[in-house]
Amino acid sequence: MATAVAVLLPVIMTFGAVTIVGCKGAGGPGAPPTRADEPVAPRGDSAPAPRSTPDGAPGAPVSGAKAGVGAPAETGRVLLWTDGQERWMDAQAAVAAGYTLIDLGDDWTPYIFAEQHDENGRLLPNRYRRVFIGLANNTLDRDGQPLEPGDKNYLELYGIFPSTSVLRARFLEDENKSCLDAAGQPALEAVETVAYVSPEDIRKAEKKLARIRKELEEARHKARVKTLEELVAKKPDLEPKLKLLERRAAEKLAMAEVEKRLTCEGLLGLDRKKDKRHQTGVYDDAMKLAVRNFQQKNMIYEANYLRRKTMDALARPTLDNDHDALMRGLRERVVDAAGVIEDGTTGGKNGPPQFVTASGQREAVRNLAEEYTKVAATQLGLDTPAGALAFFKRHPAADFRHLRAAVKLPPRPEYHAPHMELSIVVDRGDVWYDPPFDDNDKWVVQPRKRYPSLTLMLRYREQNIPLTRWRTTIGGWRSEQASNGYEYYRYKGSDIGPRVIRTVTSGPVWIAPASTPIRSLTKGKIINGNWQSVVNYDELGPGYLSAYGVVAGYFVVPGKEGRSDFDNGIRAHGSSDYLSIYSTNGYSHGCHRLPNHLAIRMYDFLLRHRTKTVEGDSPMGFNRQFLWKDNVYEMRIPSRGFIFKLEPPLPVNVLEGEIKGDAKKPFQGYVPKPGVKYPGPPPAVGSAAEGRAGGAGPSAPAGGGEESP
Amino acid sequence: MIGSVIGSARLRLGMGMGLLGSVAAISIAFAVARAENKPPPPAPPADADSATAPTEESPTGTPAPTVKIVFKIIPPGNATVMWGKKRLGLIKPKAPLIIQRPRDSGPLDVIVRSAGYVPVHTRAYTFTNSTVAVKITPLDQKNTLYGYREEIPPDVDGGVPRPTGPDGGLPP
Repeated sequence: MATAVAVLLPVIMTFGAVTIVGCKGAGGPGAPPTRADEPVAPRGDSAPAPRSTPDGAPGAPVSGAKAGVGAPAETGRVLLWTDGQERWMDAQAAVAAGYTLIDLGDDWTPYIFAEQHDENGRLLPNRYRRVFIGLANNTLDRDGQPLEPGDKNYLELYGIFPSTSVLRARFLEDENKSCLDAAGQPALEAVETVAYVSPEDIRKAEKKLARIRKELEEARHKARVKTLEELVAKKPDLEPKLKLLERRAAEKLAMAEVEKRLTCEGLLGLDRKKDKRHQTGVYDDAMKLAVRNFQQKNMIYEANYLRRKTMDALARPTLDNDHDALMRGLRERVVDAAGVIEDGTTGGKNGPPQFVTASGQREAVRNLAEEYTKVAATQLGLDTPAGALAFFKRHPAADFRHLRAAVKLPPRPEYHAPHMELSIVVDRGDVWYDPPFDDNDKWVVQPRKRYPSLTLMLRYREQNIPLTRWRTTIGGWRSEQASNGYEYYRYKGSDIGPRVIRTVTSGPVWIAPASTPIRSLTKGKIINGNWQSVVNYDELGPGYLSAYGVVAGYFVVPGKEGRSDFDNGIRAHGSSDYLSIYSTNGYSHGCHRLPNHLAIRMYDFLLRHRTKTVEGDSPMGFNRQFLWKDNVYEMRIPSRGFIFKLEPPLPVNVLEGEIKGDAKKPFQGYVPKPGVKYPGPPPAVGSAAEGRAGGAGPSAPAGGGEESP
Repeated sequence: MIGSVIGSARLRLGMGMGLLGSVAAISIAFAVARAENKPPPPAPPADADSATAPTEESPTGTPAPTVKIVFKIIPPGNATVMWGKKRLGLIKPKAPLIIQRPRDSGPLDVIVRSAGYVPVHTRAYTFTNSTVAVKITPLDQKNTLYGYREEIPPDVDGGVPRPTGPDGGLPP
């Protein structure tokens, strides 16, 4: 019977009540209010002073807001670089003269975390703003508590770029310390990667190399030649063995240089505990942590090993890497200030897409993120490591508290406007519904040639213009905890068909549904000097590690005839799990993940080019208890996050993609995990909300509509 | 290779049973599902002011620099509240523990311990004034808590019934 329930329940849920669910499971109270819950009267938004230029001012219309109320006008002075000299200029005059003001201040945040005010000029507090700024400035940890002395946040991969003061400190510290030993640089450049050998396998690997060496020496002796190279010339079948020896020898030298480099940068050898201390030449936990920090410091999307991009960065002077970090941070501030998003990701074999202008000219979609960043860097004298170092030496840290700089940017494309006809298209790419293991519980490979993508589209003069196209995720087979306390696999799909985004939440929280494996809901943490188990709020949020990242847009099917929107728990959101986005076998629970910094860019752009209202913090007071290892843990979530409403909502279409494998429809219900003992048949799938979470419920046919249940 | 995926014992079991669906079965299944799907226990009553506390503003409109956090337990009794190695204080039946913290200074992860009850790990926030009302569960009622794991009965083999025929004994 229970199995019947497992199968039938989703059918029943089709007719069940609508609830708000989340793609990592049910959203429940964590999701923002549906349309029916919205306040009748729109609340005003008074955005921060528009960082605009006359040639295409960003800043979307705000319904219900009185223009300018609560929004401070551009005041104070801004830094300008002309004729090789810095000078200060009145901010208003700079805007009037066509300059764009780039916020270089340490208190900068992207628009989603910028201070917002209601129609009466009262501040609408965003709970995560202070933490975001503290993280960027190396003053707070991810819970918003003071960072331990000496600790640093390396969070670019999580969407939080170091503040200008933090970068200034890096430049000044590295001025006389390249951390790149000139004698050792060739060793780093000689290898593309360093093969990973686990500490347990080192002896085995060394024995194997010794055996090969001995074998080659014996062969050389037998062949009566002087060198191994001569031997290989005589016996080419031995070449791979010689190559292996040479490669390992080169990697050993490179590894030694990597250790020096990471130690010099203060990333290796910090832990005094014996069991965590690094052992020379071994890729142990200390080394892995150091490499991870190095990758995060330099925004390298790679697994925590010495792979190509990581090795490239290790072989560069420290100041050059610092300069790259400065350019990355500047890029986020420039695109925010200029209100652009185009980043050259939509180009194909024939170059960038083109559009026809009002005057009938064909124009290519430009890479404005790159173009404007270069222009800004050049105009501010930051375009070289030496120039940036000089800039930071000219300005004390105190200058960067609220520093803004004025730059003249080339005109934006003519399609830029305060309200743009934007939409999102998600292509699911190649899709597998088959379980990832066969009848004998053996794992099977499910290759994909076409990966999921999320495209931001613009409708302009009867043309569809793609502005950005990024890799994203779709759902797949995931672990879920059933009501009997055991974990099973369940297919968590991504719905297809038209949707809309009505709500964008900055600093969103994810309410872990009851089906979330409990083992993932707790973690250890030092609290007041004591190692303590706590609820794993990292994943719940708000925070950069949250399942929804730092910002999320909620896909819903609009309710018709006064009915509520239908929310099947799918969102397009930021994610700290960046490797899942770029991995060949990375899947979500149904949502469309983006690296946090791209999610920030996208929602910043949408909010500033669409009519919206700012609702502000959305309190809720959610509590739930669960038992883990004879202790009760209580999730307490006081707020859903900071809510923006798009009106009209943003159209979204999710394309089906190509279904691979035998199963042509997703299986609904629990599937026992290979090798796990269970107390009986799988129980029914969750409650009404959870049963549908992640697309297990009804989904609209591609290109078709769907009735709100 | 996967072989016939739909033919796998697991899926055959599920999908075969799915074909049995009928209106009557739906209503029975729903009832069973409700019985089997033990939901998490109801959360303690929402704190009156944990999420929606009025902004504690000074006459000048700026929020007070500190917030007040009230700890109490349900049912009322004696309990200690530990914040790491620091004891924040005692909760008594008619005297909740009240502490002050700097506003927006980050959350406090605390453990509430009461003799004869399962310890509770919970969190207090410093964004606004708040009350942390903690429901405590007697040790002998642990099995009522969400996350309590059913024991595996003896002689159970993987939880999947052995097929009784070539297609698992299920109707096609």
